[in-house]
Amino acid sequence: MPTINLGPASRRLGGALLIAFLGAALVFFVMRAGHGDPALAALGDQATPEAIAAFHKRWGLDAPLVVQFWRWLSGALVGNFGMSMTVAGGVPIADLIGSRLPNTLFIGFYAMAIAVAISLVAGTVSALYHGRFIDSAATGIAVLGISMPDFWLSYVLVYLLALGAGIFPSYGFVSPGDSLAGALYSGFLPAFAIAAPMAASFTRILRTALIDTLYRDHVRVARSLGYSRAFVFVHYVFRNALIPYVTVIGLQVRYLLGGTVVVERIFGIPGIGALLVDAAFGRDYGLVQACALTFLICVLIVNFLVDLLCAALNPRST
Amino acid sequence: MTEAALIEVANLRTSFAVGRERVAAVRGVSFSIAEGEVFGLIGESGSGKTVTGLSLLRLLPPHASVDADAIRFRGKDLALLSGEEFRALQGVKLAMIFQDPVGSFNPAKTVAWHLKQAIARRRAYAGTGEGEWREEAVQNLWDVGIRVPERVLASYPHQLSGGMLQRALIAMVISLRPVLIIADEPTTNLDNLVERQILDLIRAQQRKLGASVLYVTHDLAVAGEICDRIAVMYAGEIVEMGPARDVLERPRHPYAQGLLQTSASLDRRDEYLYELQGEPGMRGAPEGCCFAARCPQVMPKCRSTQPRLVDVGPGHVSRCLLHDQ
Amino acid sequence: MRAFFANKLAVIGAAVTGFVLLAVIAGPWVLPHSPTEANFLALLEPPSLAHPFGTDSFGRDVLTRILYGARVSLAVSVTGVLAAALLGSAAGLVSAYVGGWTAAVAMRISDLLFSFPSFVLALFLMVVLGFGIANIAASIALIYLPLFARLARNMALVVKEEPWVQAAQLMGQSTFSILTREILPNIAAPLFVQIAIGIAFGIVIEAGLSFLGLGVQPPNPSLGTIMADGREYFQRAPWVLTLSGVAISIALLGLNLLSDGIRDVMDPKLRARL
Repeated sequence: MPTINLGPASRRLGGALLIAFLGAALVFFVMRAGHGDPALAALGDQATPEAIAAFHKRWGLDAPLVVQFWRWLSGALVGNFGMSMTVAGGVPIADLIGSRLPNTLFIGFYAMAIAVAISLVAGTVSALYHGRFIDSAATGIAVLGISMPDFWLSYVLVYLLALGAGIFPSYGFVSPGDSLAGALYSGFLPAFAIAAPMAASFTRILRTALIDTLYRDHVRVARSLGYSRAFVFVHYVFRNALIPYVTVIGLQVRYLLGGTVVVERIFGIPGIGALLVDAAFGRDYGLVQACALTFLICVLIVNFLVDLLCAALNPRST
Repeated sequence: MTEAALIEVANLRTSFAVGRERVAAVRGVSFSIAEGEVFGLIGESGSGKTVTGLSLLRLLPPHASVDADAIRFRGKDLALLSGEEFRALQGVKLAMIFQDPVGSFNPAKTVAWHLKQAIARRRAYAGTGEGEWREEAVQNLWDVGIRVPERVLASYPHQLSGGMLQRALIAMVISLRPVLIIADEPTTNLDNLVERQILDLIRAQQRKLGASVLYVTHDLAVAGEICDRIAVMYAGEIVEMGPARDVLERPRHPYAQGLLQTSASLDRRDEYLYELQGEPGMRGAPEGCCFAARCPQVMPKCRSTQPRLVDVGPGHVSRCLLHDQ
Repeated sequence: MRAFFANKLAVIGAAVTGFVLLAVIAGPWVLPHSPTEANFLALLEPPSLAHPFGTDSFGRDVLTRILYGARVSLAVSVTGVLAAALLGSAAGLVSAYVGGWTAAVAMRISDLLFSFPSFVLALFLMVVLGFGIANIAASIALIYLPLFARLARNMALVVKEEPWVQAAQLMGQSTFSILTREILPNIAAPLFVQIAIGIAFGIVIEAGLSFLGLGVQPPNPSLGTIMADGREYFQRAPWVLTLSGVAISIALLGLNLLSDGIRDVMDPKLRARL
């Protein structure tokens, strides 16, 4: 394994931190600029000016906007996001997020694992037998997978596998902290619903990358040296197709995290996505901000890790 | 066909499926190469010379079909071998040096890895033990003229120059100790100085190993340097074949003569270069001679009669109706 | 062109998309029912001749609602994506060709937007801007803007080194003219593919938002609100949810196949492989 040059890595880290900061600022200021006064939302349109002023004072909304941002940011850095106003009145937002983040992450990883597993098999088979029936069939299923909105797919799965065949539960979620087996079982349908479109696009990129590599000169040279087919496939074909494959996986993480929002709602999973929706309905702006920021940070972390992985895979990056 | 023939090819035909048609790239090629001989296959692009080499080693893509009366390697017919049996011979008995050294290496692996795999392959085939491969790798690189073997071993292909990579490629192939090496224009992509060195290198290694070489090229001068016998190909057929000296100094087939004149004209730096009329790929009439459309000495019967290979000297044949009177 | 019609999947995609467009544009005129009027005499009827997709809990004909809803979803998605394509590509082109400070800043902002999960960003914007159709289109535009900007920029960076661009510069062509006449036509094709893909996903985003109740508000039909309705009584009358989902899937399928077809035609490598 080549050593990773630390220079670009720390530059990427710096870039990610910058984006995180800008993201926080964006989230904060846009929120305030757009929907104005949280007091009105919390107290209703009929609130008296005195009640509004009292609300402002109580929540520190009377200070200049930049000061509010600074207070919020410095609090956030130490994990204090303030309190939820409406969704769970008085509960510290950090606690809410802390208790729900693991569930979302679990579903996220689960979905990614399913998508990668399916695509590795389907992509390899399609590439090796490309042009034949099984390839067209796989492509057809893949296109179908991309074409179904994940929330609709959720219902189809529920209908067929949960209500119909009774194999999986249609609602509810067992936290992995309580029981890993329970989490894997109850989380399968939601994870699969999110995974399906991703599996479809991963399969297609792997197939394309493999076919592209199959006809490269170095593969022919390897065959001419008499190496076995399996050896050539693993080291010459698959290894070189990994780079575009992993890159696309990295790009899809944004979709993955977004997909959890609706799916969590449908299956009743207590995760950040469902929390965000509740906060949106409840006009709990602090909570909305914190959730959006959490998502942003998750994406940044995963992107950073994927970038590192791609650099490690690609000798040209040193 | 002499008894010391390493490989005998009888009536090799290769065609490709393009859309709904079949395009014939090699149309009945027969030759033999003796042990330790360097045999040159000369022709322009599209003559079928590269495809001939690839056909022998079963390295063509799936839409190609290869057929022959016989392809005998040390007496055994290769066409009868199954995929696995043939693969056992690849590399350790029959090897190829490709034209583009840069594309021939796995971009994700170091040169050291490549050599290690090749050495391990040979050892597995020969049944000798594992042992330390690094010493042998360094020695092989040294033998091909690389004076900084450690650095090259640690490098990735994109970090090395074309000339360096070609040497490393030769080192990799040599590690396998093949008895037949097909060299497909190994110096085309290199500049002249490096080309000279690589040619010397190939000749030295060939003598050391006692291997035979099928040297595919379009360059007459190069062929003259290194080959013992030469065959000239045009449009998928061999049009002249014989000892290198004879074919290059006294060619009998109009196409070979044309090639020689072109080359000489270049060397003399003529103001108006000699050129053969027409372009390759003009197939002319399917029934007649493949060269009829461009031949300066064409006769009416050339367009309707297929010429056979006829003797024009000791061990020297030509496919032309001029000699077949 | 001929290559396009040789690719069976692409032709199917074009046909399906064409059919969907036709149904959506012309359908509502043909069908007799109203999408919003309730008919309490025909609640939750299963599919029949009078109501090919059945009726919903208000007695409204589901097929009609789907077609009206599809109009809305398509309009929103197309508007948003086209806006993103125009603005984003312009930004990317200018940034690649002219460069400079503003371009760098614009690209950073674009990266920032791109770092949010699309749906989360959409949700966030809906909270900020308020629910409603126009805002959905704006959200979709903001989500796709960075994609087009980056795509246009990357391709323009390559094209601007081409000899004919440099020749145009030497001949004194104005920057605007170079951008629109030399560079843009050469990068247009992948942009069109992205537009097709973007419209497909824009529909999904709109449907998702409306499904959650954050997008188009009832009783206005949109594919998402119909599905949200259908979810309520899923067990009793599964056809509403199922069929509206099928409708979306067909539209998406058509668009995806079409965009794949365009991409396959444009990429000679894939073609030669056969």
